[in-house]
Amino acid sequence: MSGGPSKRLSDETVLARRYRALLRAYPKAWRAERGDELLGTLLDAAEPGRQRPSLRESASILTQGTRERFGPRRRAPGEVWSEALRIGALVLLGQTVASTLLFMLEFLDVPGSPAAELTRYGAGVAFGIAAMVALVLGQTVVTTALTGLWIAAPVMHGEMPWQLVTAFLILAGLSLADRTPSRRRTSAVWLVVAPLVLLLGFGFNQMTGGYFSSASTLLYPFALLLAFTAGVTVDPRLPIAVACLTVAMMLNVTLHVPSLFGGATIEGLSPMELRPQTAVFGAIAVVLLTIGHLRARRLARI
Amino acid sequence: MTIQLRSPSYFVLAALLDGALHGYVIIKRVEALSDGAVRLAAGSLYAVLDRLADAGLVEVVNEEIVNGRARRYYALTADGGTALQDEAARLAAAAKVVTNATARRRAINTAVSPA
Repeated sequence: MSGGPSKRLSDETVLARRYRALLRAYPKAWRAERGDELLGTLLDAAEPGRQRPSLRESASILTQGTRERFGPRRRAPGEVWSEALRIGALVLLGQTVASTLLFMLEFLDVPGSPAAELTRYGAGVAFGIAAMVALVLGQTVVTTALTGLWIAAPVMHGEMPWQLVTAFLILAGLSLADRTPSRRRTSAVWLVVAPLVLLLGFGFNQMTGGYFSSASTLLYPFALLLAFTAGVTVDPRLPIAVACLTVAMMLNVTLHVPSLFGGATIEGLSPMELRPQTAVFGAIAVVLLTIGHLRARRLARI
Repeated sequence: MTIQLRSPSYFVLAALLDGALHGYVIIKRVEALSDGAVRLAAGSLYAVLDRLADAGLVEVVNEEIVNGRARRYYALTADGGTALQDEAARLAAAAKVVTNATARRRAINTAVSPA
């Protein structure tokens, strides 16, 4: 027999070390407060001789640790919706600022770029950054006004900027609905989602060429849906925020209206073109909103 | 906010009815009380305990080290006891409309009769 107290201690040490590694899924502060207690319970629950964490316990530690790290605390569904819509608006603004900046940089490379055009783009970026700062600071009404001015001011040309219109409608709704005196701040960290959305949009255009030519191209939007649904297990605000972006993408591919001042559309395009993308993006938005709502309701329960 | 208890939270509160317990014993007690229907992994137990503590339904009443393992003992608060009794009454009423024909007819008649 190789068993005995020393063997049991050795098994336990190995198991404890492995559980400690898994516990790194939790934030440092949580581990400092509760880590030893959770480890004690894990070791209490482990059968003698076990050296490897069980699959069930490992999955639970990783899921709960990730939720503790990134997920919101318990709150009413209305609060989750309000925060999620703010995040959606913030990312839409971030996305538009990023694309305007890229456009401006490309324009700088063109020899003899008119200063007036550069000023227009610069003004657009300034409006956008001011609106984002106001939203991060919880100034919803100011953000709504700045976004409205950005749409109305002669700093956009081409088609109507539907990302901004969507953000404006969301913010206007929030300004009217939110009567609480306290300001609701929105973390600027959510802006890291913006480059991802731009990348997904770029990939979508590359794959579809603007139109669906075969059933295989439908895979892309469904991959998008799947990727963001994964976020549902951690944070219900994510699918609602992504649904805002999806609505903006749906409007972009469907409605072709010139922007308010100096705008223009591609010749030959009718103002409304109902394409397969319209239905796909619409369906994705509905599914994401439903998932977000159900998860938000669940979050309210103890 | 109205307190709505999920199944694991309900059984964790029920496990604490007879006194303060630490994590592992809560897991075993919940499994026994739910007839094996609720089997909590340790990570899930602490998520439930965090939610219950945040809502003021349980509290830590003692801490100790046993065989080198840290243990905290959790107990029901007065609010926790009330929330548990309310949920039990709600579940009993819901069960009654299935098991008791008279209660079912009374509920239907109350719902359809004019105020």
